[in-house]
Amino acid sequence: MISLVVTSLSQAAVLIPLVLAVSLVFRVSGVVNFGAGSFCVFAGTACASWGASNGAVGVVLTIAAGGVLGALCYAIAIVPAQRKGVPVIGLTLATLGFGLLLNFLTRTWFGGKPSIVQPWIRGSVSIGSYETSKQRLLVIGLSILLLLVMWFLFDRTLIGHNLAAVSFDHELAQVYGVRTMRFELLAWVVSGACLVIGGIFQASIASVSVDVAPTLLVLSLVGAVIGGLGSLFGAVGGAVVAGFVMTLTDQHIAAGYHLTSLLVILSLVLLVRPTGLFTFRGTAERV
Amino acid sequence: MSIIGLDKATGRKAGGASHKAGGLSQALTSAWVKHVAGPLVLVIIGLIASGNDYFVHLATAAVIAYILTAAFNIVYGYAGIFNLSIVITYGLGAFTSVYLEVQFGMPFWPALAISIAVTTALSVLVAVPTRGLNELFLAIQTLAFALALAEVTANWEKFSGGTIGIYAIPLPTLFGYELTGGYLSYYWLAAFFAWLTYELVLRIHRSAMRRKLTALREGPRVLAAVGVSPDSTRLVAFALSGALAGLAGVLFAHFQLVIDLETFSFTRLVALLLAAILGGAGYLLGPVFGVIAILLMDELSLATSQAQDLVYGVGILVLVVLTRGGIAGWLDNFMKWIARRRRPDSSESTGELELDDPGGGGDVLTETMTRNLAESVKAVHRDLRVEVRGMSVAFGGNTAVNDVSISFATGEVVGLIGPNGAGKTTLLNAITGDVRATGSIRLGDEEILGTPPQKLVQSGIGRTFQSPKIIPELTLLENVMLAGDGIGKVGWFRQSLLSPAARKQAVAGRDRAMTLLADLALADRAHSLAGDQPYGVLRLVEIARNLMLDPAFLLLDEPGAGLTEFEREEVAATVRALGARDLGVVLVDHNLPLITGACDRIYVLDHGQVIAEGPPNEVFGQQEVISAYLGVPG
Repeated sequence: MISLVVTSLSQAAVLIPLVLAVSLVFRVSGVVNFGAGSFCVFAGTACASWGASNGAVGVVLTIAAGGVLGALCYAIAIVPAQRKGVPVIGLTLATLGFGLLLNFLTRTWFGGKPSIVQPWIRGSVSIGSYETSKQRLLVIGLSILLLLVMWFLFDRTLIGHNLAAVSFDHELAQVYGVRTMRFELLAWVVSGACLVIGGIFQASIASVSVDVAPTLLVLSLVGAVIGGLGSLFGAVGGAVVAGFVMTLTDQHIAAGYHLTSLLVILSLVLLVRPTGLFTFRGTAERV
Repeated sequence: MSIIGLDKATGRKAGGASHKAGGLSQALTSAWVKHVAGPLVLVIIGLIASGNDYFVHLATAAVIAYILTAAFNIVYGYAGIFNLSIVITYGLGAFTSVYLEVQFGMPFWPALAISIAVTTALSVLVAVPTRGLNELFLAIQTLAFALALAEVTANWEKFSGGTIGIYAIPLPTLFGYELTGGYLSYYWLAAFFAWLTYELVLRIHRSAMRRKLTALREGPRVLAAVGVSPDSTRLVAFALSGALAGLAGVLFAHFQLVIDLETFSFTRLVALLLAAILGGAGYLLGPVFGVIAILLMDELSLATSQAQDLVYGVGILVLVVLTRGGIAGWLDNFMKWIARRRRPDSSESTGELELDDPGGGGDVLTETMTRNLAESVKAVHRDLRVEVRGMSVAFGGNTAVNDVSISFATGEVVGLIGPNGAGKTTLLNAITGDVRATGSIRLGDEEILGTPPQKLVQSGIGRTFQSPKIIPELTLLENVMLAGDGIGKVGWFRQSLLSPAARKQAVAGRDRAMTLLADLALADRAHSLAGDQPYGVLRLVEIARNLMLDPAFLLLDEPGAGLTEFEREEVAATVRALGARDLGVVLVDHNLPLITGACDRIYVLDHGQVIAEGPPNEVFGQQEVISAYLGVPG
C-alpha cells in the first residue's frame, strides 16, 4: 500500500511540472506543445552532462536553458506562424518541429544514450516494511514546492491576473493595455522551465533517452487532458490520477500496460467529462 | 523519379494554362487524362528504375509511402480529422498479414484481405469514441491510442516479435511466381496497388464523396442540414483511410521482409505528417508531392550525414510558416495566377465539367427571378401541417422558450417576430433538433421532437441559419449540389467508386443546382468559391441548397439580417415565390416591411412566450405588440 502511494506520488511528481507547462501554454497561446517530450529529454541529458562534477550547477544551468528554449520555441515556432494566421493544428505541428530540433541537439551534444542525473541526496528510508530512496521523497517534496510557487505566481500576483486575462481573451486584454506578446513570452519561458524541471526529476529517479520523448509527451498531454487542459490546477489533479493509474496497473494488473490503462481512463474522461475531471464551472475556459 | 513526378503535374497544369481556352486545354485537364496519367507515371518509374537495385528499392518505398500518405490525406486532408493513430493502423496491417502467414500458413492474398478488414475495423473503432472532440483533443486521444496499441502489440510477442521483430516473412506469390521485396517484380505489385489507390482517390475527388468530406471538415452542421449524417460520413472517412493504411502496411512488410515495432514509431508518424502536409493536404496530388519531398529530404540527410531529426524539424518549421496548402496548394495558386495573367478578363472556373452559364449579369429583375424560381420549385401538392405544442427550452435556470404552441402548414408563409432575446431562434433550433426541448412537435401524425437534424431534413423540414452556413472551400454550385448528394439511393460506397449510378445522380444534381442558381441570378458565380462571395449571395445559396431537397417546409432564420435594401427585396421576393408554390415557410425576422410583405400569418414572441398571433395588420395594431417592440409601457 505504501509502496503504491509513494511510487504513484513520485510518478505524479514528475508529471506535475509537465502538465503545468502544457496547460499554461495551452491557456495562453491555445497551442498544445507537442515538443514537450523533447524538452524533458534534453533537460535530463543536459543536467546529467553539465552537472557531472557539481549537481547544483547542472540544475541551475539546465533550468536557465529551459527558459531560453521555451522563449526560442515561442519565437521560432509560434510567433511567425501566428502572424501568418496559421490554424491551431499548424501551430501544434510547429512545436513538434521544434521538438525534433531539440532531439537533434540532444543527440549531437550529449549522444543518444540514456542519461541519469545523480541523486541529490543518497541513501534510503524505510516506511514500515517499505524501503525507498530519499531522492524519490525529495522529488515529491520539490514538486509540491513548485506547485506552491506556481500557485502563488498565478493566483496571488498581478502577473497571474494578466496571464489569466490574456488566456481569456487576447484582444480584450490588449484593449485593457496588457502587452499580450510579453505575457505570452513569459508563459512560454515559465513553461520551458517547468518542462525542464520535469525532465530533471525523471532523470534523477529513473533515466531518460531520446526514445522516450514520445512517451513523456503522451503522458504529459494525457495527464493534462484527464484533469482539464484549460485549468492549471485541474491539470495537476490529472497528473496525480495518471500517476496512480500507471502505478496501479504496473503493480497490480499487468506490468508494461500503463499506457493502455491511461488510454482507457482518457477515453472515459473524454466521453463523460470532456472538460476534465477537475474543472468546474468557471474554471474551464477553453476546451 | 522526382522529376517525372513533378513533370506529371506541372506539365499537365502548365499545358492547361498555356493554351488559350480551347479544346486542347480542356482535353488536357479533363478527367480522362487524370485517369491515365497515374498508371502511366507508375510504369515509367518502373522502366527507369529497372536495372538499378537502389532505384528499384527507392521506387518501391515511394509507391508504398504514397498509399499511406493518400490514406492520411483522406482522413486529414479531405475530412479534416487529425487522426494520429494512422501510423499504428499501418503497423497493424503489416503485423496482421505476417502473423496470419507465419502462424496459420495462410497465403499472401487472403492474408492481405483479412489484414485490410482488420485495419478498417480498427480505424472505425478509433472513430467512435473520438466523435465530438475538437481537433486538438482528437490529436491527443489518437496519439495516446497509437502508443497504447503499440504497447499492447509489443507485449504480444508472438504477434510482433517483441522488441526483436519478425524476420521470416514469407514471399507473396502470383501464379506460382514469387515476388521478392526489393526486386522489380515486387515493385510492379506495389505499383499496381498504388494505381488502385490513386484511382480510388481520384474517383473520390470527382464524386459526391469529396463534397461530403469537405463539408465534414468545414461545417458538419451543413451536412446535417442537407440530410447527410455527419457521423456516418466521418466513419466512412476513417474506414477508407484505415483500409488504405492497412494495405500500405501489408505491402511494406513484404517489401522489407523484416519488421519490428520501431518501424511504426513516432518517427514514421512525423515523416507521414510531413509528407501529407508538405505535399498539400486535401489536394489530389498532395501525397505525390509529399512523398517526393520526403524522399529528397531523406536522401539529403543521408548524403550530408545529418540526422533526420534536424532535416525534418527545419522542414516542418519552414513549411508551417511559408506554405498554406503545401506544394500542391502553392502550385495551384501559381497556376491560377498564370491563368489570370493570360486571360485577365475571364473569371477562373474550377469545375471539371464545364457548363454554359445561362443568364448572367446581376441586373435580372426581381420579378423575373421570382417567376423563374417559382417555376423550378416542384409544385408537389402536399397537405402537411406542423403542430408545436407546449414547447419549452431552458438553458440552466433561464427559460428561453416557455410553453409555446404554434402551427404552420404547407402553402402559407408564417412570420415569427419579437424583440431580441424573445426566443425566436431558440424556438427554431428546438424544432430542428439543434437544442434540447420539451413538449411535442407533430409532423402530420408523427412525433418529431428529438429527431436528429439530418433525419428531419429527410422528412421535409429544411432550414437556413442566422449567419449563413456555407462550405467556403466549395464553389457555389458544389454547395448547392451537396444537397443532392445525401438524397437518392446511391450510398457512400458507390459514390466513392463513382459508379455509373453515382455519376448519373451527380449529373442530375448538377443540372438541378445550376437551374436553381440561374433562377437566383447567380449562374455567373456558380464556379467561384463560396468563401469569396458576399453575404447576400450566401443567403440565396443557402435557400437554393434547401430547395434542392424539395422540402415541404422551409424555416428561414433572419434571412434579411445584414443585407442591403436591394438584397433584402430579393430575399422577400424569393420567400413570396416559395409560399406561392405550396411550401410552408416560417420566416424569423426583425424587419417589419419584410414580414408584412411576405407573411400570411404571424406570431409575436416576447420573453419566450407567444403574445399575439394573426394576420400582420391585425397583430401590429395590438397594444401588447407595440409595447414589446417599442418599449412603451402598455
